[in-house]
Amino acid sequence: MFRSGKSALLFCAVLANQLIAQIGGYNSLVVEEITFGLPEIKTELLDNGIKIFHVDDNSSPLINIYILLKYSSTSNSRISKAIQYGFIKYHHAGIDSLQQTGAEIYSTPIEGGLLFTFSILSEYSDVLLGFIENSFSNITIPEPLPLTPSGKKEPVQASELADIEFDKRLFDDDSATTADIPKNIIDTLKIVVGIAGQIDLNLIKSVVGKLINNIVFENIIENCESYSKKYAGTQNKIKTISRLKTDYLRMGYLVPGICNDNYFALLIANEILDRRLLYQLRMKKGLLYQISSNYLWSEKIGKILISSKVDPDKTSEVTDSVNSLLTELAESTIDTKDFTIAKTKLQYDFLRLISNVSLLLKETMQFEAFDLPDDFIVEYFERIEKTMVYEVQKIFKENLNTNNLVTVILSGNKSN
Amino acid sequence: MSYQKIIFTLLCFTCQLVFPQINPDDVRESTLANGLKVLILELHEFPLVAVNMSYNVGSVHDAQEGMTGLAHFMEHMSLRGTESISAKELLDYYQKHGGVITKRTAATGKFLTSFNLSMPSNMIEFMIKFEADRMKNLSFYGFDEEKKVILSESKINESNLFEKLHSGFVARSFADDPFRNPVIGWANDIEKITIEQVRSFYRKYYNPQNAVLCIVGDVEYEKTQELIEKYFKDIQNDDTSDVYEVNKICPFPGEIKNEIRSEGAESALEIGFRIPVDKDLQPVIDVVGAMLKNRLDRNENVKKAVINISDLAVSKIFSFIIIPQDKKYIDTLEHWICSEIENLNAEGDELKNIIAKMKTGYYRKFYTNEEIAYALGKFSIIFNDWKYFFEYPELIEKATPAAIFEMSKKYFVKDNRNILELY
Repeated sequence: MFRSGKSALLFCAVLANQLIAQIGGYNSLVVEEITFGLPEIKTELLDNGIKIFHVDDNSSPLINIYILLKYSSTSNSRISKAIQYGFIKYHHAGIDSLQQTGAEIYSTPIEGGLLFTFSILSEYSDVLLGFIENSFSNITIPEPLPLTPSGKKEPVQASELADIEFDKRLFDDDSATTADIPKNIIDTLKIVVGIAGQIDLNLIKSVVGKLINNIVFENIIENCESYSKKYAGTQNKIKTISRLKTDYLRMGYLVPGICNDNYFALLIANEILDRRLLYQLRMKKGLLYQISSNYLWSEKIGKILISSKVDPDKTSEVTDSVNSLLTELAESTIDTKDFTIAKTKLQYDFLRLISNVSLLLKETMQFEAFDLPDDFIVEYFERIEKTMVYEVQKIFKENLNTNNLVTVILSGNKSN
Repeated sequence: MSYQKIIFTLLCFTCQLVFPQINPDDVRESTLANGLKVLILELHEFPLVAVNMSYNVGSVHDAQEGMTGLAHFMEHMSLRGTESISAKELLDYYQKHGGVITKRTAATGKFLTSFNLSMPSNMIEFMIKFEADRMKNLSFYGFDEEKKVILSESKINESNLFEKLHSGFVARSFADDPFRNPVIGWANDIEKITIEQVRSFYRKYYNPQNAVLCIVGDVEYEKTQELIEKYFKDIQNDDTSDVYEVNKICPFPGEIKNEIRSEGAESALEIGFRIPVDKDLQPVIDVVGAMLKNRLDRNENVKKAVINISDLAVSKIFSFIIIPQDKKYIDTLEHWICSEIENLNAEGDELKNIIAKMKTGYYRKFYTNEEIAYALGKFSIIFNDWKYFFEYPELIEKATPAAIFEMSKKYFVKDNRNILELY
């Protein structure tokens, strides 16, 4: 039987009005206290070891099914890519039949794995279940494949190329073919399944119960510190597309992932950085149209990535400004106001996350795949609150100092 | 089976393809004495709310040649704070209290300017008060810095091959219609925009009678309506906006064909037809767009195809850009796609699959209050009919082979065609 998830009834948070700043003509506003709880996530562990998460959702006539394949704890994106393409290639016939129902199918690489998303009108749920049964119970990729499923050479957008070049330097990685997939892939597979929508759960269980699920972890990366030293502190200028009239800027760091004690401090540090970049470079100086910093985490490793498109005449001023800001954040004391705003923003982001069943399920499934504690999501809100300013300061000093910074500029301008 | 169960089953059957949790009757519509239209949809599952203010103004209202980019500039200035709250205070306050910045936070289109605040529901008074403040008390501080930001944005757009090709294509398609200008404006014009021009534009178009306020989320109708009255009732209409005739259809001028020599190695082809902005025609055009995209993706001579009718982007032109695998395929592809369009047949499984896919995509869009509020505001302004949001999935079903045939014979004709080759 499905039972309530352990987390479901425990979680409750209060967002009160004590944080309300009184500013300008907005002094007289009344702000009421709000409370919210985590939606009920039902879980079931099947005999084959596969865990299913289910959230009731009748907000649309769609069924969303997520299947997470985790085959090792490596960050190696080559294997992810290879499985992605291999999957599409070898299950092409099945995907065709599924696409005839109007289904939307996505595969997203995660650290050492892939997350498949299927959205389908509920009237076609039996077609989707048939596809899952046929495809996921027989994952074999016997030969090297080209890097794209159709054999066409996909045009690579400049922004995408900038990301690829940045990752190559950060992870010291190269593209590959499916020849990179370990032959024993089936033996290293862990499957987690998530379902949102109105569907017969017994039917799901009977299908998922047939899948193979042997868990063998290959802890390839234990310490992310060994990575990216080769390029840290240098600026890599890449002149690849001569017609480019905009420079694509990527600046960032390799940092620990979600399974690290500093995860919440990293989240807060990234928020502070993101806000300061927007304010100082766009609002105050008018230097650029867009800039953002994102903390992209996996199990053991993650990256903090600053991205922007810049007028080539201003690239040098922008990189100098970012460097100055990072130096300032590393050397000076964090502004209490910035710290508070970053924390509350992250808490509200969490509220938004749980209000979207799809995001909530995907997040919960990753926590499960990464073997995080069952109460990780329950304590998430509180853990942000408990993070101290000195922990964040330490992140800026140790992880985000300019000695570790990797910079990549994709430009059409020789002088850049 | 009980009577109630029978009724429930029947309801489920007839409504199975409409949003199960909401329906048009849940949206409460009112109009203030000053003409501000208000739509409120209560959704109580989470303490979140989205406030969307949509103005009936877009780049088509820039009107005068040589003064393009005013509507878009105005959108940027609306984030620069008011007389009561500076830009920095606004950013801090908004984020500190759970406000989220997304692609919907501020946007300008050809026909519409839309602002969206998305916050926890206990901030509803701030959100309503700020929208009223934004409507009449913008400070216009930071004008020069914002102009630099917009010029950077313009340069970024120009560096995008698709953007550049498409804006040239649209400009050639409409000789005397302001629809021809890019939303952001031409760079030369942006350079010349003055603060007085932007202020004047603001007074002319940012008026209650020219706006729709949509609130979706965890709010109570009566209390919210009171707040709206409190902050908006004294706002007067400074000026009556001129009316851009959205549905004006220019006579077909005959086929337009242009060739441009590429600066680099790239080559591309854009083909399009002028179409009216018509809510009944829109789903038929969307289906045809999806179908042609599907066929282009399967053509081995095509490297990439982009349809410029997507994401419910209401437009006066239906066009697609084709990037060939090689320059040598340009002519072949042009003949092939023209023939596909002239003999447009949409039958059987292909049409059925396309419609199912479009429905799935449509429902996936509307998981957040913000997206629902944006869609209600948009359809209310452009089609004067917010119910279109609920009707769209059923209207797609009406894109029958006969409807597609009729539409294509009327608009997809040679005299109405524009072809642009980049080689």
